[in-house]
Amino acid sequence: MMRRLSRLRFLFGRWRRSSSHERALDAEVQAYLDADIDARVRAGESVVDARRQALMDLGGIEQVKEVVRDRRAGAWVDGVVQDLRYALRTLGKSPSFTGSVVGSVSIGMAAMIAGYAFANAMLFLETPGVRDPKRLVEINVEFLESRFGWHPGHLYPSDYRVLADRLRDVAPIAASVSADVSVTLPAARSLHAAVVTDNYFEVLDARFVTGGPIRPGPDGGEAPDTVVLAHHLWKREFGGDAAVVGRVIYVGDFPSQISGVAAPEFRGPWTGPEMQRPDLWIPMRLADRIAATASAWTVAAPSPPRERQMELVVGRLRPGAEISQAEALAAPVVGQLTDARPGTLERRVTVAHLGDQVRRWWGPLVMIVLPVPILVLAIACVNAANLLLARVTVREREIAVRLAIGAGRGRIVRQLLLESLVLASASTVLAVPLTIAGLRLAEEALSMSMPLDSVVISVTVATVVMCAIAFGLAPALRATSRSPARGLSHSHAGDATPQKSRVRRTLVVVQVAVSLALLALGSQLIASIRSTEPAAGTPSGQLLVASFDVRQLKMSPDQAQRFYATLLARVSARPEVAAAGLAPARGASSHGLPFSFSGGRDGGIFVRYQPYGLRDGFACSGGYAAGDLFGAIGLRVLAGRAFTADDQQGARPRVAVVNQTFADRILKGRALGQILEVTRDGTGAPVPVEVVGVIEPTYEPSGGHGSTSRPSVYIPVALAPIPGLTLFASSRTSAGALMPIVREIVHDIDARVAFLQFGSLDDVMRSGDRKLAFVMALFWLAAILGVMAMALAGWGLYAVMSHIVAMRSREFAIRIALGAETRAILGMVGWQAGLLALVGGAIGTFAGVLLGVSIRANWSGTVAAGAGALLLSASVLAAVMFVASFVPAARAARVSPIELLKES
Amino acid sequence: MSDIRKDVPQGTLDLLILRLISREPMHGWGVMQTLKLLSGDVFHVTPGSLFPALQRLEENGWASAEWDTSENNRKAKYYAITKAGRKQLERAEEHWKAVNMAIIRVLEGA
Repeated sequence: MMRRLSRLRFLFGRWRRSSSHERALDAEVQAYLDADIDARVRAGESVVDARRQALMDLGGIEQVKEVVRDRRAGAWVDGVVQDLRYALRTLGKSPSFTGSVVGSVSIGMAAMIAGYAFANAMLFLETPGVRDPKRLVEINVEFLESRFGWHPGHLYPSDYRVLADRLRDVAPIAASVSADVSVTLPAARSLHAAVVTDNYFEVLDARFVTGGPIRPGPDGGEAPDTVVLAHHLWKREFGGDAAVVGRVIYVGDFPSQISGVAAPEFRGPWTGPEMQRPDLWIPMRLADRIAATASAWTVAAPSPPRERQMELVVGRLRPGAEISQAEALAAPVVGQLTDARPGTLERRVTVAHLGDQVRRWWGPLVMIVLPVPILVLAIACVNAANLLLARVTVREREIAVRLAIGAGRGRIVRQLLLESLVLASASTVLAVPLTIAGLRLAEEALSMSMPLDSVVISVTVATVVMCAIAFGLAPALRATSRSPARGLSHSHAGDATPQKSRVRRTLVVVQVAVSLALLALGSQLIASIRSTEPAAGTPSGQLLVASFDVRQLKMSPDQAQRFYATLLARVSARPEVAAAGLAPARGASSHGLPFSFSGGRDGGIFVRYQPYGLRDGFACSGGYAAGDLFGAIGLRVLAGRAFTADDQQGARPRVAVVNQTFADRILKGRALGQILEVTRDGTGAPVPVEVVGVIEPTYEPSGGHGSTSRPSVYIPVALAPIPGLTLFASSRTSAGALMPIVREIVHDIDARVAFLQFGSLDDVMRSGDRKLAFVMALFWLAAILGVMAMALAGWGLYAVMSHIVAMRSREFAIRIALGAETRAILGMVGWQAGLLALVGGAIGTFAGVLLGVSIRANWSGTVAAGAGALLLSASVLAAVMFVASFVPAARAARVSPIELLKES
Repeated sequence: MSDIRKDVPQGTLDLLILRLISREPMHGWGVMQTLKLLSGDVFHVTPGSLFPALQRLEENGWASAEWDTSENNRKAKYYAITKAGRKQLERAEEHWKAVNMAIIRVLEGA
């Protein structure tokens, strides 16, 4: 121990005073030499002879010093530092080489770090903004169905109370449900609220910027309810004013006091990337009051307590309590739960660490997306390896000299690997700002936070080392494999013969294969994105969707009718608007098609068609349509007619329009004139309606099996009975151009009316189905990375082929001098490059197909890329190979053989 | 005589140097000469072995070094044994004697 300490002390002392140590060593050896000379002179030798003999016995001052340096403590550290300095000097001397490698690898590293940040955020991050997130659990009820396996069910407030009672001693629980509420700040806004139990913030142990959690209050008491603002809302609406606590805002029509502002990172419990960030948190009893005052609801508004489904029941394990104890307590409750579904085999209550289920769900997606940055980095590394191999050929003489004067092979390999490490590190330093910029964009697109935390940094450091070894080892071993004599006598051109450049050719094949696999993957992802776009109708960027929140303003049916009628008339009259219509839709459905959802409080309708043999009728897609709705959403009338103004008079509908799918499947092709009985929600008296028109069907993706169209029925609506309508207006230019116009019209009619949804169908789709929007955004990002990878691969292939051809310029010169034609030279190069492309292409296609199959097996939302897309990828790559091989070859073949021979 | 002039047996140079500097501080050349003298001109230590050994003793804390003026009025680096060096010397001597005795017993018994 003492010995080690002493050595360490020595080591640090020497590092601190390295120059004085060097001087001391020099002085000591010199003193030894002087003493020896003195002794010899005293013995009678002449000074000259004494000096010569002493020097011979010493064996050279520098050599002795070198031996001492090599054997002292920490000599290897000195060696590494020396090698590092040498590497920096050498790389600095070849800026174009260094720039090429660093440029290429930094793109790969940026992609990889972003990939790590994404995987880390998806799979390992705990709920941010809460204390001790590992103690948080989520409680769910699940149903077992023979076809689907276990799938989630609903927990209602009564279930929550039962569970809270059972789990009180082991894990206090809280619950939340999301809703859109109208908030006056003082301007009316529709905000996304999390409706939470009073103990929500205590259970989560959330952090606050100012103030504190919601204060529990007696039901129906006089004291105003309290709400908590999200950090972004506080910044946006109150400019970050700390005095906001205690201020009163109106939620719905109810004064509510701000009790606190949550920490910026807090967004509720982590339940997946599709989770919408709440603007504020309101207590359940406030939601109850809002619900009690409104007679009908838009879907996103708070639902009355009996219909409310707890979206998330979360608990915090008490100190010492285990998850198994909580599960054992919760399991027997299953019999008392409200949600009991016929046809299911079994149901159960599960208690799991918060986020575990989400991670299980998203895990396969990460596995699909992560190969993309890995492949990008692999391509960048292959580029770097190729460039290093080329450089080693040029540096053969230098390496041979060092080997010849006694440097060990290990020392040279170490030095070359350190050069690679310097390159990889420099690339990473360059990649970090790129990554941060890219992550900001990705965070925006994916609505999730992806911090570069210690986990990401550690994995990145490990990747830097692995990359340095990956692209540096083969060139280093190759550089030192030749005997110094051969290296010194070797001419550069010899390396380019087919047998001797096998490593580089193999790398070209690998690069072609990886590029093609990546292109195939990119094509597949893009094909998957395409499959989700509506096949018919107005382009989603041109269709403006605006839904309103009038019920929370306590509008009477008459007032609501006037509002909608005026709105429709004024919007339709604008020259910028091609067509406009209203529908009581759920905004946009998950796939961007208005009213494709069947049944429900405000969605589709219930249809009975006796000849079809259905005794009780069936829930059907479609719904009420007002104005020129079909024109707005761009569905053509195939037979009969659309609704007229006459159809829309009166309280009860008399006619219906069906889509082609309904006409074909249900009405067996004879649609016009048929009588259907429709009722809303399957309740109330059925109303007979006559089918007067058939419109073209809309398509939507269905679980990876291509697009399908549902049978749909539309009936005209008189505006009054249906509250919470959505305006669809197709623009002659873009939906964005219509937004200020519609906003102004709405403001002019009634300034209190807040927009529930407002934007192009694209925007609404993204906010409407966050899960799908997330996957799509992710696929787009992956596809962009794929294109980047192809550019990298093209760059690398060009560099390598240029180098191989340039190395063979001497051979070409001799061939041309001997009478070979330029065409023959080009043909030869083309054949060799083509062979490489063919082999790489075959492997890449195989890998791409395998990758595609495994992706489809793991993720049902993806579809296979068509053969055309694969062919296109292969063609692009072939074009790159062509340019990469022929340009240098043509250049070499054009120069006169004498000049070429002189050059080489 | 030249055929029995040898390098110091493997692993014993540290022991020998410690023994020499335990009597009085010595500089490198002095160590080399004394070793030669005391071994009857058998041990010839080259500077390539001597200096790393001296450095090792210093790094391990068994010897301390100071610059002083030599008998020839030249600056020289003198090595003196430390307390830890004395303990090490005792251990190494005991070990060496035991090994030596064992070797002699084997040689005489064979």
